[in-house]
Amino acid sequence: MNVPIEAYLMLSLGLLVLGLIGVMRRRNPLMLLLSVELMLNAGNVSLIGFSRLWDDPSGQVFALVVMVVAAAEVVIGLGLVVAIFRSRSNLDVDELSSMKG
Amino acid sequence: MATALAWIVLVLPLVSGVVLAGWPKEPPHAVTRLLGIGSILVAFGLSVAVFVGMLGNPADDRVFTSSAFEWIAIGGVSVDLSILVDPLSVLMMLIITGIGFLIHLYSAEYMEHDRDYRRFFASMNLFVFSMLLLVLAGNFFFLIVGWAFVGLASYLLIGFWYERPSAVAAAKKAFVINVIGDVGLVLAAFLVLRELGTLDYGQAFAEAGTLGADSGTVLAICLLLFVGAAAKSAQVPLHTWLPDAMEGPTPVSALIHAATMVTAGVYLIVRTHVFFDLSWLAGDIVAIVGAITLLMAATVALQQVDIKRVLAWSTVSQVGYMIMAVGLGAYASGMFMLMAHAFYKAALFLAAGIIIHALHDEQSLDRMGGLKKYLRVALFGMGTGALAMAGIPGFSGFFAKDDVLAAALNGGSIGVICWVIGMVGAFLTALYMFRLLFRAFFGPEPAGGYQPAPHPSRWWMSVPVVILGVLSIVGGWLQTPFGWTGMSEWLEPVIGQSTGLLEPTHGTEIVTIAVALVMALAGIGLAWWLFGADPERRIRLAQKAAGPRRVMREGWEFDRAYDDLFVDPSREVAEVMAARVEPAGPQGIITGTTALVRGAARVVSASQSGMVRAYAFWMVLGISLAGIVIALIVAGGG
Amino acid sequence: MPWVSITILIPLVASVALLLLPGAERRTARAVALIASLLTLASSIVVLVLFDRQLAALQQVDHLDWIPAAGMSWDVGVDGISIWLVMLTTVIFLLGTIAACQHLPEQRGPAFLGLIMLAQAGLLGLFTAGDLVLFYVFWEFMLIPFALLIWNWGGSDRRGAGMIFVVYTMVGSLLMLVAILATGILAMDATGQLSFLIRDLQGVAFGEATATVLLAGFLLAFAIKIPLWPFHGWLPRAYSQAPIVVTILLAAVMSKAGVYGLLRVGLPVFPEGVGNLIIPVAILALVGILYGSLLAWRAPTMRLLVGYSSLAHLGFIVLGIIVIDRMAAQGAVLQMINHGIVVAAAFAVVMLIARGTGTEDMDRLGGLAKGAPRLAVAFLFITMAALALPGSNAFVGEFFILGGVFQQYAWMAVIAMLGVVYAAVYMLRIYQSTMNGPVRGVRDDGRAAEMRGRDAIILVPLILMMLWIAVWPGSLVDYTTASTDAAVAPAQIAEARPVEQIGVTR
Repeated sequence: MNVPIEAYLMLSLGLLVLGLIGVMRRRNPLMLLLSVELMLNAGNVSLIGFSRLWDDPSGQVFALVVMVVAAAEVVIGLGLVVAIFRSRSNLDVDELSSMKG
Repeated sequence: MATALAWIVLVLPLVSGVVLAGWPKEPPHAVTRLLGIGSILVAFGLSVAVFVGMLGNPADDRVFTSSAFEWIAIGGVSVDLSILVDPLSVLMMLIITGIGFLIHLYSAEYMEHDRDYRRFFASMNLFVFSMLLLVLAGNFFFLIVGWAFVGLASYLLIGFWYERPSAVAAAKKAFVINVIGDVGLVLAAFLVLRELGTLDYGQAFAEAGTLGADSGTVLAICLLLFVGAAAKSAQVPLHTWLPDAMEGPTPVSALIHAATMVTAGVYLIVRTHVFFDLSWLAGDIVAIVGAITLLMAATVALQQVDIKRVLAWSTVSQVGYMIMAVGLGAYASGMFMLMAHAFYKAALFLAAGIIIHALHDEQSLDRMGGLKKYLRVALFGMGTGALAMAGIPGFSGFFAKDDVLAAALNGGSIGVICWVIGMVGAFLTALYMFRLLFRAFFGPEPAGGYQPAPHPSRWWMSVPVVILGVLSIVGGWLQTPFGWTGMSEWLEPVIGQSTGLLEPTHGTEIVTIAVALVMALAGIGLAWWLFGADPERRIRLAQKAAGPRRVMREGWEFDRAYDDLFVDPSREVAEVMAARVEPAGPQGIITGTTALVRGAARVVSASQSGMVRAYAFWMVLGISLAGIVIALIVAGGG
Repeated sequence: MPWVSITILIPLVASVALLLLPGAERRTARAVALIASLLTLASSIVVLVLFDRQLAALQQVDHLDWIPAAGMSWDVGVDGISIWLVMLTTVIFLLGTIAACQHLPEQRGPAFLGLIMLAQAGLLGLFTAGDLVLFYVFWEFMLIPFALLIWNWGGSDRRGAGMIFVVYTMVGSLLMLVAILATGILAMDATGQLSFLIRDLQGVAFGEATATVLLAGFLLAFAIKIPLWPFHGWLPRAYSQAPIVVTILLAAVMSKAGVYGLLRVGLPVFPEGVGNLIIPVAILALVGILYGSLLAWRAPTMRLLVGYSSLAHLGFIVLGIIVIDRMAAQGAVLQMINHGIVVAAAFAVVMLIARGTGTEDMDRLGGLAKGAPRLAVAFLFITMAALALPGSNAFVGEFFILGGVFQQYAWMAVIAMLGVVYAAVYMLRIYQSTMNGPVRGVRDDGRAAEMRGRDAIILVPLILMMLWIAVWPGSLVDYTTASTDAAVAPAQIAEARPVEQIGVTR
């Protein structure tokens, strides 16, 4: 079956926009992480799409790497969320602005 | 031979002064006296030897130079440490060491009870060395060095009692005005260096003629030299430091601020007369300044109550006579008066010192009177000094003043004006000197008498006063009208033949003698009428002219004018610099830059809100814009 | 033996040793620092003895290719201009080290001494560098130890003062770096060979406009370092915040770096460009003379007074160099040494008074001569030298600087003379307000401030040097004449001055 590259890209774009809106709209860090995952996966879809188009497996390999990295990142992110929740008992990224200039 | 002795004369006071200064603790008085006074006595003896040796030489073989070593060679100019021994410098050596010795002797008793006996003699010896360096220097550079060193010694001795704020202020004033004089002298030396390419006297004087008579350069050199001379010799308008200099011990006033240092300006003009001969205008300016000074200072002397200030202003006035004389070209007359003045003014100051000592540091004429029965020696010194200064025939001052004025009468129209001013000055001189004499020694004792009674001086102080008193009589017989011309002949190798113009004729001599005598007697008579005969009269009359008297007492308000004109504006400018310009300018560069960086940082950091979602938004916006731009470029390029 | 290199390396090695030493080893640190300073002085004396005063060019050169491809080399030597500066550096640093050892800071004493040694190495390198890049390296190199000394051991505002000192000087020197690179590359166009050796660059014809621009780049760095008015903003802060020993070193030695650069690089390498800059630079120098004098007159503390007086005195030196006259330039070279000695002595006196009385504020002191007569005599001597009383060592330099200036531009000398009068006013102020008048601000007539044996070790050598120069300046000028004439000659020729003024024929 030959899916055209445009389909991959449209899916990717959709996921990316969803992720972006999520990052910009949601205040809960868990939702933020989820949205970031969404965007990463949008990237993965593109990578796989191009990999199919050029018939080059390295795109797929990259996607796998991204997944591993994303997994690691989520672990760290969740760890941080838990730590912040413990110390502040509140999960709103807008409140976490102690690094502002 | 002459130069070798002169070197020793020069070095002796320096060595003794350094030894005294370096003595680990306060040495016994005997040691201080031996070193301080003995060295000057030996120097005087050697000066006499130089003088006698020089007398033995024919008149055209009396100028010697001697160079110790090449001191510096810089930029094509070489300066030697050299001395010039000629009749002029030998005359000055005799005066400096001779009177210096007598005053040192006097100081041995006068300063006896002072804590800093050694410091006094060390400073005095430094002064004698500096003054000798000034007169012996063989080039302009060492002239300036000696010139400044006497200023330093004068500073040290005016401020000798350094715990008194008034003495400290007077010392500073004297020093700063002397530095102004130094600047004039240095600039004159620069001009000589630029135009003649040398600082050496011999070469410079020999080639001075190439500058051209009455050229602007010669005029500038002369006037700059005169700035130096005026500052040192307390001529208007640089005279204000001398009356304040009376803050120093009295022997200092006698030696430095009467007999020797203040006459250095006269010496300078005679020494550099080659330049003044080339510019009649410069000479006239010098003469007029001298005339103004002598008149102005005489009026001020009339109103002083402090006995030392009377003498200080009288010194300013008398040096005015000398400056007038040398300005008119009567160099021998000026030097003659310098010598005579050294005798009688030293006698006057030392006599005043006896009074001050006897009255336990009382200097006001208001608390003196009737001292003649206590202080015979002082009366002798003061009396001969006053008679000499007033110009009574037979006394040195008579011959000297007569010599100056008779020469002036031959000096053209300027000379005649100077002659008239000099005559008025002679009248005032007699008046203020006899005022001093009558108020201190005659009349009633101050209310309540003296507690305790004034004690007479011992021989240390008496002998110098008597010797100087005698000298103020006989010292004038060196050069008399219609008779001897010892001074002119002696100085001939230096100043050349008198120019004829200034050789007094019999007619002018007689007129001058007659008028001067009338003036002196009138002055003495008025003084007797005002201060001698009826002591109450001056108090009655004094109230009638309070305004002019105040102006005169304040020395014609020069001090205040200087404060208003120079000191205060400088201070204000400095304040503005320190308070406004420095923070705004050089510091402003720094604070401005810092503020700029800070401000920029504040603007940038405001965008760091800490809102993660906002960052995300800006990032997306940025990427989108970048994407659009790239797309447009690609589209445009395609 | 490469004595010049050895002279630089001794303090460098010593400083590394001292910086590695733990803070508690104060006794060892003192010994190391003193021995190293003495050895440096001895080594510099060897250089002086081997010096041939007939030669104008750099001599006793140690040349080692460093980065040949980039035309850089280790090239050090001495000539008439630098020989006495090297001596001044080693002598003043020895005395400074003694003073520092007497009052070693409680915190990290060995490091303090180590940084002083490092500064000495930097200055010695600067004064002997014959390669422009090396010159630049040492120029920046000496900045670091001085900045750290201010930064760590200074007064209450030491951070600010140190920061300004570093940043301000850095701005100027970065511009100099650009100028150095431009000079090298432009010279390569002319000669076909990349070299930063000053002796190679001399004689390269850059053309008037280029030379002016390049010289201006150097001048800015020099002007900040000297400092020339109005670039002296860092001076009052650095001088008043640094530990007083460091202030002595800054004022006595480091302040010579700028004027030295002007005479070593500015005039000889860019003679065509000097003509355009004579009047502007001279005016800045004259303003500096008057401005520094006035501020010194109103300065509240002794340290600031001497600091601002230093601004005025360096104005005289700059004036002497920039008018390109043999006599003035030789006077300026002499005056660099004089000023170094006199200002070191003046700050040393300030140090003694401050230690004895606990204050540097002149309004709170008075009458110290009563309890401290020896200090008063020494201070009087130094005061007279600082106000350049005729007969003092400083007067010799000043007289010939202004004498030379007068021959070229009489009006400049006349204006500068005003500074001479002001100098008398402000120097008498510092002397009289502390030493004379009624006793104030101290117990026991100020006996605590009296000069003792340990203080005499520092002051007496300085006074003896002043006496030596005052009595026989010829013995010193004799060494400098050939090199100074040669440094000034190209600019004189470019300015088409009369032949008899130019001492050197080329």
